[in-house]
Amino acid sequence: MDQNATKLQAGAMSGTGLWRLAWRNLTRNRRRSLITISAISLGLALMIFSFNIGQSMYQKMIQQGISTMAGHVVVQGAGFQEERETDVVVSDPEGAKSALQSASPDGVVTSRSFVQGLLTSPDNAVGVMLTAVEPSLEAQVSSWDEKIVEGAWLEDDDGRGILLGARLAEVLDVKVGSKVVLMAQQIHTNEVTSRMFRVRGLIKTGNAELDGFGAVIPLAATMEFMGLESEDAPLPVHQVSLHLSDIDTLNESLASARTSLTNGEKSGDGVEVLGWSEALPEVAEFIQMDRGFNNMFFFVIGIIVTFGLVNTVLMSVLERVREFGVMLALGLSPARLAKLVMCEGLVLGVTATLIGVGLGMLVSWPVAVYGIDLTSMAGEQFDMGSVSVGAVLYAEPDWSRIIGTSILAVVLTVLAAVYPAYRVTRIDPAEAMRHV
Amino acid sequence: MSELNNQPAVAVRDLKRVYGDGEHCVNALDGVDLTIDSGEFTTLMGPSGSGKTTLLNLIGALDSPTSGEVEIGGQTLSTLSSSERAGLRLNRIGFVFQAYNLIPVLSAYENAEFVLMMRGVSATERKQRVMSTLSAVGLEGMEHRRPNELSGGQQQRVAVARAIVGEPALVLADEPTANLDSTTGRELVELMRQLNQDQGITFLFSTHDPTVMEHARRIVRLVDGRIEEDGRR
Repeated sequence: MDQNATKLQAGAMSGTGLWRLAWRNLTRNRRRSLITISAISLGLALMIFSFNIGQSMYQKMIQQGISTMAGHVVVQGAGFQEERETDVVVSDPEGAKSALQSASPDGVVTSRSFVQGLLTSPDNAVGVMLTAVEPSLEAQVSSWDEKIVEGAWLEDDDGRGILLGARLAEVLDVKVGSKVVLMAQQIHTNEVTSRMFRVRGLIKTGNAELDGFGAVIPLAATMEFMGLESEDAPLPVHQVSLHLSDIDTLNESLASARTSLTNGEKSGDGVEVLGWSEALPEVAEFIQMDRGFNNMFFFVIGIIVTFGLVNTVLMSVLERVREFGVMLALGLSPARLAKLVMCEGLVLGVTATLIGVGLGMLVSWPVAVYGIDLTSMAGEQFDMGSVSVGAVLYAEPDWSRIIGTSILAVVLTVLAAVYPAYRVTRIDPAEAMRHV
Repeated sequence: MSELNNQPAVAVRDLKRVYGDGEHCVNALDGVDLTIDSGEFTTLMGPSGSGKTTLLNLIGALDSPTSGEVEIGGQTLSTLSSSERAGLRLNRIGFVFQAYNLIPVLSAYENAEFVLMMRGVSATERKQRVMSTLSAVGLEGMEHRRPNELSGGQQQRVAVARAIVGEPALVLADEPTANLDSTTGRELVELMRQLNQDQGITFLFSTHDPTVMEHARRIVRLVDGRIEEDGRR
C-alpha cells in the first residue's frame, strides 16, 4: 500500500508552472482582466491620492498647532490642560526648561502664557486672547513672525510692545505705533489691573479667531504687567514647550521629560507632561476622526469592489469548467486546481495594486511640488481642529496607510478568489468534460 | 510498466452504471466483464448511447460504478480515495479526448509538459522527454504553437503526445478521430498503432470510425450497456 500510495500521488505541479499558468489565464481574456485591474488600481490610486493630500494637511495642522499653541512635548501646571485656569502655572519654569532641554539637546525650549483681557483703544474695546512669548525663541519655533503684515516682530526686553491681529486692529481702529490699554485679572490676587502697550506690528494668519481676537506680547511684559514682583510669587508661565528637530525622537524625549519631572507619569509634582496629541486633543481628534471616516468610506468601496471581483473571478472560472475537468482528468489534484484559481486572484491583485500605487504616487507628485490652490474658493486658510492651514493643498506620502491599503487590496482580491476556488474543487471531471 | 507485466492492464467485472433513479433511471452499463492485456490495441464499438464513454470513464477512474469492480494493473479502483484515483490517472493512464481538450493558453510543448510537471519531473528530463515525444508524433518545429495555431489533426497529435509522454500503462481514447477528416484520422490511428507496437502501450478506443477498426487487433462491441461481441484478429 505504501508503494501504491507513492505511485498514486495526485498531481502537485511546481510553483513556477502554477504561476505561469495563472498569468497566462489572466492574459486570455485581456479586456476583462484590464477592466478588473483598472477598477482596482484606479480605486487604489484615488485612495492613495486622498491619503497623500490628507497626510500633508494633517502634517500642516500638527505643525501649525505645535508651533503656535503647544510643542512636541509640553510641561504645564497640573490640570491646566483640562481647566485652562490662568492661575494654574508651572511652578518651576526654569527646572522644566532644563529638563526639556536635557530630553532633547537639539530641540528648542520656550515658555508661553495665555491670558484673557480687554483691549481698549480710544475708539473701541475688544475682549482678547493674549499669548505671551519669549520673542527670540518663539521666532525659531512658530510662524508668528512670518505672518506680520505691517510693523516688526517683538524684542525680548520690549515691556510695552504688542502685536495685534489685523482684524482686531481694524476694529480698534489702531495702527502700528498706536497706544492701547490692556485690562486683565492678576493671577493670584484676582484684582483687575491695566497696562498701556504700543502696537509694534499687525499679524494676519488667515484664522478668523486669531486675526480678530489674538494679540502677542513678550513674556517679560506679562511678568511686569501681572505685578509679580514679590519673590515668593510663581512666575506666570502656563506652558514650557519643547520643539524637536526630529519628530521621530518624540517618544524618547517625552519619556525622558516625564522621568525627570513626574517620575515617569503623565502628571505629578504639580505639573503635567504631555505629548503634542495630548496637548492639542482637538487636532488629534480631528485627524483621527477624518482618518476614521475616510477609512470607513474606502472600506465600503473596497467591499463593493470585492463583490465585483468575486463575480469576475467566478465568471472566468465557470467558463473554464471543461478545461478544469480536463486538468482533473489528467490527474491534477482538486486542491492544486483551487490553488491555481487563488494564484490567479493573487496575480490580479498584486498587478492591480502595483499599478494603483504607481498611479496614485504619479498623480500626487505634481500636487506635492506645485500644490492645488483653493484660495479663490475657500479664502487663504481653512480652519480645522482649532488650527488654520493654508488653502493651497499639497501632498505628502502617507506610507503607513499606502502600505496598509495595498496589503488590504491584495488580501481582498485573494479573498474574492476563495469562493470560486472552492467551486472548482467540486467539479466532477467526467461531467465537466461534457460541458460546452 | 514492468510491475504490471503479470497483471492484465484492465480487468472489469460485472460492471453496472445506472444514471438517475426510480422510473427514469437509465442502465448505461448492465453487467460488463472485460479483460485487456498489456500491449493490446482494442477498439470499443457500438451505437450512440451503448455505453462506450461510460465504460471508458469508469476504467479511467473518472466515474464510479453503481456496482462491479474495475482493476487497473491489479489495483482495484473502489479501494482508492479520490486523491489516489487522481494519482492513478496521472501516473498510469493517458487520455485522448474527441474534442482534443488541450489547455488553450499553453503551447504544444507546454501541453505535453503539463503531465510531467504535475508529476514533479525535473526540468531537464521534462525537456528531453517532451521533445522526443513531440518528435515521435510528428510535431517537430511546432513546439511553441498554441492550440489555436494548429490544425485539428495537429491538436489531436499534441493530445496523443500529452497522453503518452508520461509512459502510461494504458491510453484511453474516446472517439479520437471523430472531429478529424478521414485522411488525418487514418494518420492518427496509424501513429497510435505505431506507438503501441514500438512502446508496448496498451490502447483502448471508442469509435464509430471504420479506419480505426482496420487497425484494431481486438474489437469489443457494446449494445445497450452489454458486450455483444468480443473478437480478436
